[in-house]
Amino acid sequence: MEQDSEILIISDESEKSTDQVLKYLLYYDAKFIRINGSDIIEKIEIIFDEKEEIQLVCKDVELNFNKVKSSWYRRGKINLLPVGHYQKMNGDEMQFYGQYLEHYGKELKGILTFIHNSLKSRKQINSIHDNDISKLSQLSLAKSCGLKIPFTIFSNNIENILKQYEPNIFIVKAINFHVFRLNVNNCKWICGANSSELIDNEIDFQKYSGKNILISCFQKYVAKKIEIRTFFLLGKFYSMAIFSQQNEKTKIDFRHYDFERPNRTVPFKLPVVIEKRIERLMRKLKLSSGSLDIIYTLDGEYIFLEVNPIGQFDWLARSCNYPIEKQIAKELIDGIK
Amino acid sequence: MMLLKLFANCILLKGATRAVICDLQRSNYHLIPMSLFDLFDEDMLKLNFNIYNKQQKSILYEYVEFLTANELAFTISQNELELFPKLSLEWDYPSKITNIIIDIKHGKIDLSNIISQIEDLRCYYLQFRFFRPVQMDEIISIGNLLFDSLIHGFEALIPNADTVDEVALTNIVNLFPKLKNLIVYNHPEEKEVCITSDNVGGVFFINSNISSAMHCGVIHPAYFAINIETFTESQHHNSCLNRKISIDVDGEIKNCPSLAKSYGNIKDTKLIDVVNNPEFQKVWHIKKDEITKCKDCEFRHICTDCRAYLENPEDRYSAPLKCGYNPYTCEWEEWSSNPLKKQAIEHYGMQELINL
Ligand code: SF4
Repeated sequence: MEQDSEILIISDESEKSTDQVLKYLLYYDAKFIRINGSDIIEKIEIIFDEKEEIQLVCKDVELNFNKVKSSWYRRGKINLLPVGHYQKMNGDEMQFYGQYLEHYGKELKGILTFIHNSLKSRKQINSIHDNDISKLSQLSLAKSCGLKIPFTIFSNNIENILKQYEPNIFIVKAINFHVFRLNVNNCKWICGANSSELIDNEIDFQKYSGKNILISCFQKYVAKKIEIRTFFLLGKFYSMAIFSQQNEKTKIDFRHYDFERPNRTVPFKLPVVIEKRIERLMRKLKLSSGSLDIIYTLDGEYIFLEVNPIGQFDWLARSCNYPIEKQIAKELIDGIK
Repeated sequence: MMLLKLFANCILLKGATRAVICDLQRSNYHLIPMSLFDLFDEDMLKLNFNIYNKQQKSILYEYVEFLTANELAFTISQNELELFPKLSLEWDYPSKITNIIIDIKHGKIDLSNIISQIEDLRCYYLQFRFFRPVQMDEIISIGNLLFDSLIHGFEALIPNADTVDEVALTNIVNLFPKLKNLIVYNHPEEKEVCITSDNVGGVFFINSNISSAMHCGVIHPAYFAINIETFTESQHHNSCLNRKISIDVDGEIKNCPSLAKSYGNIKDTKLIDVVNNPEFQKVWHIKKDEITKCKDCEFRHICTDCRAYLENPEDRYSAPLKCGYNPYTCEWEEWSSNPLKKQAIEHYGMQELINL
């Protein structure tokens, strides 16, 4: 191992899976630096001279980006804002500061993008840009890779959907990740439904009729035999079957967890053809890693729902005894060899 | 033909006279008769009901009902079999030492020196067992020492004494997030004083009196650890001592404070040197499958071992002394009154403890 090559990890302070991966890095005596979103960047310098250099100081540790041979973007971001002063401010100052941050944040985006792009040519597991992948392009590309997807409409015209289709077969989702509830002039606008509302939505779609709907995603409910969660990492597949159908409470979304009789979660092996298609999709999305939701239907078909670039994998790793954290550490170490 | 497959985390284990299905996901176990075990082809039941008579059929229906009602198995078609691989029984952990026990009876110990050694070992969990009264300040100073260390969590067992103050203890666990459990033993009132905000620990008062290391090693279904971690570790290693180290009340470094063999004193021996000593690691590899009696026991991979007190102290593969289970008759009896164990009890000088 070269003395001055380093592994960079960008994450959140409370992110447990990161801790696990770091334990493996420590175990293998690999040199790394972890930057959390909450960490204050004491100094940053981007120098254009004969060669380009990005240097920053965080928690008294100096980091030269040219030495980073391997990086893992887990979640969060390098926070270039001067967060330290926050606590001492009064209300007015806070408000001013808030507005200033909003604009200044946009200014900083160029710098952040540049910093992150600089990691591209090296070994890299995920990137902050992965967050920008929309559900629409996921669906479109998944289809082009030969994966089946549920019938989906993005629309703000619910009356039309009610007229044209059998409404009770739809699930209402957010466009990408977030469900909105807006209050404008005493008039409520909604986009997507919370997962806790889903059971109602399946049965009582009509309740959205006449409401002010922002563009939402309407997806046909697919009757499933089991749900599949797959963690993809640089060509490797770690899949888990979730038997959510046994339990009435979790029929729509397994997040309605039953603590006494949790859904059975066991290792699963996707057929090679499906894995090949997923690999093609990940390549097109430029994702080195991600967590995929797939449905295995009553007819034995595989329906792709979505891929979350920074999805959790701890549950999957523990339930199926998959050495995911170890594998991530090994891949990172591979990059600095 | 009906195919019924056990979920991968419900694992069948055969004992001398009966078998058990260990539900590693829901931390349960289900005892089953040999007649049901024998029907299994690995983790599968292939039932062709036509070949059975009426009486046999009704027994089979009962079995199927038991397996499906407890969600231990699911029906599957032939062409789906390859979709459901077995649970990997590999076990791995990213440090040479998973946790360390430090027993304290006389005076104080030089913790700051020990902690940096523990950090070097990449050991993240610590347990302190006090066999003398503890001042609240002492726990605070331990908390302070560990605050900025690499240690992720620690727990402390302390005896009930005048110095024990409920409010102070509650404040202390809230002050130090790394302090997971504070257990006060020998307390007249068994209770949960407080639970930490992250729900993983708290302050607990318990009745039992853990006055010395000799209290350890009791084998009982209540202590079974029915989970993937223990089950897989137990396939390859000793489920009690693997990757553990301890410092006893005299500062002697051992595999477990209850064991006689010392590998040096903390005053002049480095922990890392002990850990790297192949002799020290030998007990890590004594598996349940090699231990007399245990190897025939259906509970062998959910029951954690004890190597400190053995039925036959001369034989390192002897069964734990404090186990009253007989896998050949399937009966639990009081271990301490078994006449065959009298000699071993005397060997360890446990007579008084038993007569309490
Ligand atoms: S015989 Fe061995 S495995 Fe079985 S209960 Fe006793 S100690 Fe545990």
